[in-house]
Amino acid sequence: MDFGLSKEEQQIVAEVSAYVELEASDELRQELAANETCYGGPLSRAFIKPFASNGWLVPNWPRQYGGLESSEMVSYLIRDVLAQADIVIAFAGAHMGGPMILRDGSDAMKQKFLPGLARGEIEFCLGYTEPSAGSDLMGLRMRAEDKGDHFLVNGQKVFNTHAHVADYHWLAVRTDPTVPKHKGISILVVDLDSPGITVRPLRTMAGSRTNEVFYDDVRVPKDRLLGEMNMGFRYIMGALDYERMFLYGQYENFFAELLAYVKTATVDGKPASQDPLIRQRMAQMRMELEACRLLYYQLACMLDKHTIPSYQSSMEKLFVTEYAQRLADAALEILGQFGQLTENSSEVRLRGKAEQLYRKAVVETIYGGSSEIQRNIIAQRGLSLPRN
Amino acid sequence: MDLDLNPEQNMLREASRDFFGRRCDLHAVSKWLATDVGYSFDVWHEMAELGWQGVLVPEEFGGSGLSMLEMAVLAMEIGAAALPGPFFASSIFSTLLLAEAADERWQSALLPGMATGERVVSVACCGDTHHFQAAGVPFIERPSGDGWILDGRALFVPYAHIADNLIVAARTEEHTISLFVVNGKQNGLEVEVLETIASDRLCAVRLEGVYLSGDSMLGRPGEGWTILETAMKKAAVAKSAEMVGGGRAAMAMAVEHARNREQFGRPIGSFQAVQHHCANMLTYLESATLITWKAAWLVAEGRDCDQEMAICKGWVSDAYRKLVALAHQVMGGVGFIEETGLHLYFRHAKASELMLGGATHHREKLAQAMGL
Repeated sequence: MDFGLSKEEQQIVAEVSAYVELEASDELRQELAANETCYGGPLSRAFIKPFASNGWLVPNWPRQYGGLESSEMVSYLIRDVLAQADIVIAFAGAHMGGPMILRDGSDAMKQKFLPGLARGEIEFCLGYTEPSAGSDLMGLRMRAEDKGDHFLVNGQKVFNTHAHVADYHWLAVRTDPTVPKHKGISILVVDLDSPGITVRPLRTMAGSRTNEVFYDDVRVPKDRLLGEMNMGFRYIMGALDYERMFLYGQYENFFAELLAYVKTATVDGKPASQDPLIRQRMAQMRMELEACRLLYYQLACMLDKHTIPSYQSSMEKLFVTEYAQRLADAALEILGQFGQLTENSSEVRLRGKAEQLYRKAVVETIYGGSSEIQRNIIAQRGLSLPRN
Repeated sequence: MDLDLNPEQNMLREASRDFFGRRCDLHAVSKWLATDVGYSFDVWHEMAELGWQGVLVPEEFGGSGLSMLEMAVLAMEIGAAALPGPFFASSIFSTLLLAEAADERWQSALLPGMATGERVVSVACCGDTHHFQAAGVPFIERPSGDGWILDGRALFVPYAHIADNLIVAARTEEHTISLFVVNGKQNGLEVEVLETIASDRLCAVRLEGVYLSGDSMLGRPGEGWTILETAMKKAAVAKSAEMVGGGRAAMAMAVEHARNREQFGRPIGSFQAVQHHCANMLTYLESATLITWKAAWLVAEGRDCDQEMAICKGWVSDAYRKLVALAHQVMGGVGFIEETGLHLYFRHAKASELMLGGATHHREKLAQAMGL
């Protein structure tokens, strides 16, 4: 057993930290919050390209596609360093679609997409959820008809968060409506500027943007099919096992700010740091942070030992996202009246981050598989309880 | 990072799991709890033959000189078996105290017997008003001739009724704290067994004008609290490992029940409400396990880890109690019946939460370690 980092790991953490220290600005963080991704905006592009050119976006990929052939641990560490600096990167392309192409895609598809994804020059948008297919993802209806030399796609997606900045749509479609629902799904990689695609904004209560995406007779070339037709269910489930992880470092960053605030603030005329309730609350948040950290790095340890996480990634996502809500609750309670002030208000504390987190954290236990779905997975896979 | 045990640690885990599986079913545990002494001498001595009381005892004093990681491996299995007895008091807490005191005279006098299980040592550090805190040191000492006179009453002293020696904490009029070793048969020492939720033989220990000779002090004068506090922090990690083991066993019992018990024509484990209880149990268990391994590793490596030690006992105290509460909810009426045995974990969860302080106590320690 060893909870420490190797020399090589410490080295790369130091290099990435130095880059972040130098290049990350508050303006970049604001752009990131508005787009919900480190892509598309001018500051994001300027930040991510030099970063990716070091192989840091996909360090665990093969060198021929732009990676460093590093351990998963290095990949988890790099993303954690960014998250600790409040730069949360979760690329739909590099971190979700890309690894699926790496495992299941044709050589041509690998050549076309992987180097660009690794360099941070192209980005996907996940196209899974539909109005009638949320937690029941396999109930999706968007239809792709095989027209010989192309697919003809019609239907609607919703909550496709990066559609307005991404270049390609990582699209789950129904290619065979005559078989049981999970047997007729395929994955297509669609140019988002194809004729017939309409992207409409949905404004979220966190101040960010997500989208509805409408397909009206969109032609998609056959070579944009991932792997085999009707095998989409297997690809998606496989990707969730390998790639489901949720960054926690942004909360550690916020916790540190909150702790610094508590050390100097006054509440009801007394130092906040001497209030037993606040001391208890802060210590509880620190304890839970430790659990977040260990659940996160456990996933990397498992992958590096060639054990595929199954329920462990669900547990990590569940714990971290529910922690975000508890941390936001704790922060607002400690801030008292000041907790309600928003970013640009006079008298605001902690630059309004507490109030922002309080709103943003609402969706985290919902997207990417709700807490209820994660608990089902933990019970069924982790404890072999029956599905029905 | 590597979260796996090494081959030797795995062997210890397998051997102890096998031993307790054979020797300590829950009906036997209930019987031992009902005896006068409250535990099984036979199991105690069989464990000693396997060298387990000596895991933390240095080789020069007859032990195997292993680390907190190996102790955590063993303690998890002890917890899973809900094994009663003075193992924690003697082979963990007192052994750690003797190591921290670095007093070779007492180490060579006590540790060899403790390692073979022939000698049982316990610790008296809680008074009436404060528990596991300097302000609560139970005895008053005053110099007398070559030695000291001790007065006072300690509470919650585990297995003092059978202990061969007690390590007691006492303060002078100047409020310095020192440790002393008292013979369990000492004249003027009165032991009363308290009746507790877990029948785990916590005792009240009274010393009335007891004279201790000049060689009774453990460690140097005035260093008692420093020694005690460090040993308590480490012992709390081992206690947490024991609790993690108990949680594992309680969860296994409840999940087995959920798979087999049918209502409305199907196993109750197929209902989401029950599945979510089970998922929450597993989440408590695995978070507690990871946190405990990390703290045990840091202690084994000799690193500063005040925060992690407090996090460990704090988190595990809450997690074990909540896990068992969920297990009860899943098992329904059956879990409420003594014969099922789940109540042993319910009792163990509360007793071990209180030992060395629960979540509130450790959150305060953590707040201090965070600079609040």
